[in-house]
Amino acid sequence: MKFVLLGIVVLGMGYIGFGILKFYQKRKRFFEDTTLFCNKLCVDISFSKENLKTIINQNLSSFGKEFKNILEGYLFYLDNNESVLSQDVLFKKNSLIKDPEKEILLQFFKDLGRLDASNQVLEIQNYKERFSTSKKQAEEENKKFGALSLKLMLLFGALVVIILI
Amino acid sequence: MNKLKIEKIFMNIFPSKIHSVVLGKINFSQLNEIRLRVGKPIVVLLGGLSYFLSENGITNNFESGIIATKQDIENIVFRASECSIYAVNEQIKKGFLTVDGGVRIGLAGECVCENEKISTIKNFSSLVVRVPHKIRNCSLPVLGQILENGCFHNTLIISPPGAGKTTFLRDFVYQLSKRNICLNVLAIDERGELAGTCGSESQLLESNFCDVVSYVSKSDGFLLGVRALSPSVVVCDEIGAKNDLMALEYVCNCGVGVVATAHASSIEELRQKPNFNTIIEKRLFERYVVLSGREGPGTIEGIYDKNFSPIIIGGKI
Repeated sequence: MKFVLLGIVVLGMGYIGFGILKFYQKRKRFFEDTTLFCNKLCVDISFSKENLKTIINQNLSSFGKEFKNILEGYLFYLDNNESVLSQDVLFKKNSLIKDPEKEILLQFFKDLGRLDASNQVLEIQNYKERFSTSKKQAEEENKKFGALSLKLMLLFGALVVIILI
Repeated sequence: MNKLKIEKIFMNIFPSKIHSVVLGKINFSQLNEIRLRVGKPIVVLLGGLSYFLSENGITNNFESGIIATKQDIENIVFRASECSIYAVNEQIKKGFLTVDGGVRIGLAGECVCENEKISTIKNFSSLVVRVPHKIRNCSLPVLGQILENGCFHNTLIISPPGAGKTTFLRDFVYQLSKRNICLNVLAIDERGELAGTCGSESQLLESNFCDVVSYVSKSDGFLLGVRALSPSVVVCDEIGAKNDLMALEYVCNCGVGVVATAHASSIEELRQKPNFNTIIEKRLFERYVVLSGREGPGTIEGIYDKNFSPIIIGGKI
């Protein structure tokens, strides 16, 4: 019985570590998706001048779940004349990103579709630079804390086992 | 285009404070246009008469009119462009925007210029939404003059803005088709207003013999269409620029019939327009139809032959 409980402690710690690892991996993927989205927008706006709904619907499947949720929130705003684009509409299912990052993303989506093609592309490129900075930060955090947290939690679990034995 | 479709378009582009009144409290079938100016009461043209739009419908008292805000106007333009202004900037820089189904929005604001050409319009200050209407048989009194004893006469429809030129053209195309007159008609629709093309389907031109070239300048449309589609008749709205008239002359000399419209309130006014001199001198048009809004849009003021001798004077379509 004691060994079963100790096994559960190690697994629990490992699970928490794995959760933290997944969090950083998702953040990294999220910011990779934002820059990828900017690239797709720039290409489609420059060459085909497709409308936003079409561009988003055509590319929705290429993004991770977290960014996809945001795009679905944005599509809801585009489809509903009365709704105001707010953090609630965009980020209702998102707990990955911090408040200042939410502000930038909200402003990014508010600015979409409001300019002529050349200025819109320039604007998107400006945002892309800001997202690239967040992406680099998320990659570093993932390297630093992601794998490390899994190892640390497993070690902590092992330490608890040793102490209890 | 049916009422439901127009209602859906209005719900998509107008804020609820406007579309709830327009769709619920006024006679929508009589609505000609809606004008919004920043900080001013919204004006509707209903059955040819102007009123202010209030929360209870229409009113003559401007104080109870709904005031349009800058945000309202910008949102209408944004929604009308399917949330993608960059996709319709070619239209915006010409001062209009056409929504699916031929609903045309005229725009005013600050023009941004590059190399002495307008590159876009920003800070929209006012707009006018023109509602297309289908008036069956409105071209009938003139049909016999355009197609006389099997002979097609090139015709220019002239009227001031809002007097029914475009509606006339649509009905003319419909009447040809209805009578199984197998003339291949080519519609040059520079602003998307004449045919109301949605995707590849025309929603306002009902004809089994009509091809539509949309969103192309008239001069390009004439040349492209005549070479590629070999039409018997070309119809186009609002000619006036020098290039349009040169292309039109080319088309007439190719043996293709033309029915076009132009802005002028009378034959005298038309004759004073500098670009029309050559066309008039060469007698490219054999019929001139003058419309006005005197007794409502579509009032026929007169039909004239190529020498401007009157054939019919007065009468309402």
